[in-house]
Amino acid sequence: MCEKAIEKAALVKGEAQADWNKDTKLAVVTYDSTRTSLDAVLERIAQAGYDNERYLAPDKVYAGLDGCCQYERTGKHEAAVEDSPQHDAHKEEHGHEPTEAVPSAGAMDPMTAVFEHYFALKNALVASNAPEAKEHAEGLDGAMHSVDVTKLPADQQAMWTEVMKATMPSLHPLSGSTDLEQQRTLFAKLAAPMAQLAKAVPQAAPIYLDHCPMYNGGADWLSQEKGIKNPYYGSMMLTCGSVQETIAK
Amino acid sequence: MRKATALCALFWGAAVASFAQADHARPLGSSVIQIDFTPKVTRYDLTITDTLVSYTGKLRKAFAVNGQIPMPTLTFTEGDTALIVVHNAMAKEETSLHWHGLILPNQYDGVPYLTTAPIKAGETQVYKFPLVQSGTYWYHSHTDVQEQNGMHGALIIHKRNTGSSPEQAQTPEHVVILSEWTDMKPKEVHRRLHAANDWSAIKKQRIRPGTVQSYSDAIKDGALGIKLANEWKRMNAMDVSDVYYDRLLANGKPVDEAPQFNGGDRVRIRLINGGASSYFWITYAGGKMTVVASDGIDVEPVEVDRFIMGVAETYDIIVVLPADSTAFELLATSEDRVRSTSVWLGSGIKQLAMPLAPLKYFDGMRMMNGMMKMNGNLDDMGMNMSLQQMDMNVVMYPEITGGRKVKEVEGEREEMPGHDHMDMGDQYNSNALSNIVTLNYAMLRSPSSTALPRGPLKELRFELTGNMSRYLWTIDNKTVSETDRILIRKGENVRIILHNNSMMRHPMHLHGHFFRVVNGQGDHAPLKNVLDIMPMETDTIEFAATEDGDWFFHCHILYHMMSGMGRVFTYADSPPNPQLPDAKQAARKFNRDDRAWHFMAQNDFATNGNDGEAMLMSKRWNLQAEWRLGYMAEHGQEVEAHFGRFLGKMQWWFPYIGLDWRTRTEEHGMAEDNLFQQRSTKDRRSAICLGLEYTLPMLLILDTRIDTDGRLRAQLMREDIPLTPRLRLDIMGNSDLEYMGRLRYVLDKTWAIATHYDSDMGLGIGVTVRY
Repeated sequence: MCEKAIEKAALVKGEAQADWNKDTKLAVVTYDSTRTSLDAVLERIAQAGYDNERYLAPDKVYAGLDGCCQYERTGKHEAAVEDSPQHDAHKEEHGHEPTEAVPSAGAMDPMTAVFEHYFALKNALVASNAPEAKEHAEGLDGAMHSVDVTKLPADQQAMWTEVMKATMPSLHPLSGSTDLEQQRTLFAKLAAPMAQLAKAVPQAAPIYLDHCPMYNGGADWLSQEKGIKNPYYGSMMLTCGSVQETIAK
Repeated sequence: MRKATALCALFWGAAVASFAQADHARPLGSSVIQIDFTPKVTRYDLTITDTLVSYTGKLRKAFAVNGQIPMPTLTFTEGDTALIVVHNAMAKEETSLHWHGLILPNQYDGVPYLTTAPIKAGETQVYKFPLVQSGTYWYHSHTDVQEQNGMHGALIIHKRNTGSSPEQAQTPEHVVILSEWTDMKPKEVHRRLHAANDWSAIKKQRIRPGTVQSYSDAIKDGALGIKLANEWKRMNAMDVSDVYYDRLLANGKPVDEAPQFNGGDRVRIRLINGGASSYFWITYAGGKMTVVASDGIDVEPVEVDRFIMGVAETYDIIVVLPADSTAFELLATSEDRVRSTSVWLGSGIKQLAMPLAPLKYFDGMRMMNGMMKMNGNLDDMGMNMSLQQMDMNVVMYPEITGGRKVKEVEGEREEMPGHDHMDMGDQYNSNALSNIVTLNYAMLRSPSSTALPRGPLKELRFELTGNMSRYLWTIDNKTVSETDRILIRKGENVRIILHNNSMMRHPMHLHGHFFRVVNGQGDHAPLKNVLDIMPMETDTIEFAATEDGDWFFHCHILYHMMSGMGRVFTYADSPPNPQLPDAKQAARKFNRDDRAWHFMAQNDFATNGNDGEAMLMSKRWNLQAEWRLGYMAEHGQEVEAHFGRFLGKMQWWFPYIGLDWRTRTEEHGMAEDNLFQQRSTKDRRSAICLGLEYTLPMLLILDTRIDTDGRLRAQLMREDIPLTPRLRLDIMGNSDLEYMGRLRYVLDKTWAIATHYDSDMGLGIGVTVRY
């Protein structure tokens, strides 16, 4: 399969073709030098996802390759910069306090990551920590977008589309907000679709749907613990609210 | 402010002024610099020649400055004086140079016949003006369509290094001017656009199947209903951009290289869109880009994954090279995604950026069907669109809205009851739909206050209008030459509320001023000199009137400007312009551009006769002639000529007076009646007629006329129905019981083979030539 993809990318009838050997990982490229160049052929192969001596594939194309076609990207050089913002996101910061735990992207099933980020966001709001809430809102946004709807079981696909539609209008501004009050208002709107999601996908541990009757005429949230920790008022009314439903599957 | 006023007047008198004074004329929002340096004069000598170039293997005429395309990059330092000596070494052609985005005395703005004398062949012009700003700008010809082939270049003004921001000085930089190249002569490009010739789309089809949006393309995509609804609303195939370009260029090359950078470097890229009609998407293989300036003026840094550059916009970005021994691709892709050009930053193995996937044209067409009202106006469905935040085109972007999946969903809107306008808009908000961050104008924020000084406010409302089929582009359905200049007064503030009621986006440029883009950032609204406004958007811009003279405000798509899309702001009580002693004659010459007539013709050399038409059109008038000349007497000969005026914004109405002459030897010896029970004179006629053409839904043209003998004729016709990208059908029938059908297969921009059946001349096969 990988061989076919490489050879197809290289092939232009009457101009160029390639023959790739699976064992040596070497391709013999034959081309008409009056009509094309080796560079052009190698660029096409890289655009199809395969690094070579001159070109590195676009990261998204490589990531989209089937698992069996992925390979060690030895052509990629080490990052020269230590503190560029793009790399912070990938740093694993497994601290000791549970609220500090940032799920590392990619290591986890995307659906699990969605819940991890949601709970981390909720905990940040409980602690009235706006910057941390923003970070986890971004994480949640990212995790939700990395769920590939086509890879979900058929019976979950329509539900997922609905959940995305319902969350994005609040989640997007939420992940850009550093204002605690605004974050809470927007967070309240995530409860319904997240509950819908929790009911539809299997859960390892029970999830509790909690309700606060005071906040904006009544607001819900999801929690992993049975004890109430209200995310809408911080320390003022930490234990206000009640468990409405236990979601377990 | 009063002090600045007086000083500007001083520049009028003498081009040389002291720098303490020059400092006050700087644009709004920038800080005052210290004056502890020695001002100097930086001189450039530019010699313009015509030359032959080959970008595709074919030799073509182009313009070069000092032998270079693009023109050389001019570098200055803020506070210095620019002395630019321009010599026109061409044999015949006159030219001009405009300094895009610069605040300068009106007579040096370089718009021929409006602010500055044209540079005639063999003449030399001297520009001398103080540089009261810093940033990324450019310069280009403002004469005819010269900008398209070669006459564009970068103009960079560095901040004077006061020692306060050493970081600024240390960031290495690279200037990139983007442009396009077409092997077709730009004048011919312009002429063909007015002829609604879709040869450009056929050329693009070879690279991006589906671009023509023919019936066969629609069927293939399961979108025939969408195509039919589109034609019902009298729309031709949807264009994202009108012109086919053979190459896209970065610094005049298909691929530009900047190997001097290493892993870990932070690099400032000064990007200029010097294209004549292309918007470019910018993406980067090495991660996010930080936008730090727009149109030369600093903005608060904002990190994005991509942004679009309107024609003539400039952006400064900071990028990081994340690894050693690697060249990272900075990719500029035209909005139609047909071609791209790259800049490689760094050296070593080349890290490709993700290419932009082809547009989903029929999803775009469905979106347009929903927005287009039967009267040709656009309906935004209450979304109050502005500032590029809701991009209707996202429906065509696979990376935002998923892969190709055109399905004809009926009553899509009804499926979402209870959704308010916010949600409606979110289906077009690419930042809400995906985790790709796309820059929009609402994200730009000036680091300092740009609030206008106190003063009387003059508010103007402009509706951007136009139609694709005749390539007429206007403001309030009037061209530059059809309107008076807009009088403004020094000391007042001018606010312009723009609404785009046309189907294309327009990069509107104001000469000699920076305007604030009112974008919800309060006093920190960003300053720009080009505003991209998408269809259905409403944007507000405002500026303080601090200058003198005449300033052009126009769409920077070259072919839209040449069609007349613009206005001129004239300061009341300005001193006379020494460059243009005869103001009346200058105005006449300035207005000449959008008054041009365009000629087109085609003839079918067929086995049974010659069959053709010719047209001479201006933006409102049309003189057209049609002929059918049979070889045999019984096939007859006929010629019809019409002269008339297009009416209405969409130009669907065309009243005319005409001549009709024909002769035929009737073999059956029998005259026929027409549908109106009148004796038909189609065998021998020599008449003057009055008629009215009207474009019906499905783009059918209904032509009703009465001739001097009182005879009526009604005719229905549709030409150029795109059955497949290259196979076209023409049909016609009228109340004289004449009918015609023709199939044409388009070979290239000039040649086609055709077969037709005609009630008078019978079956014929031939070759069609089109000019």
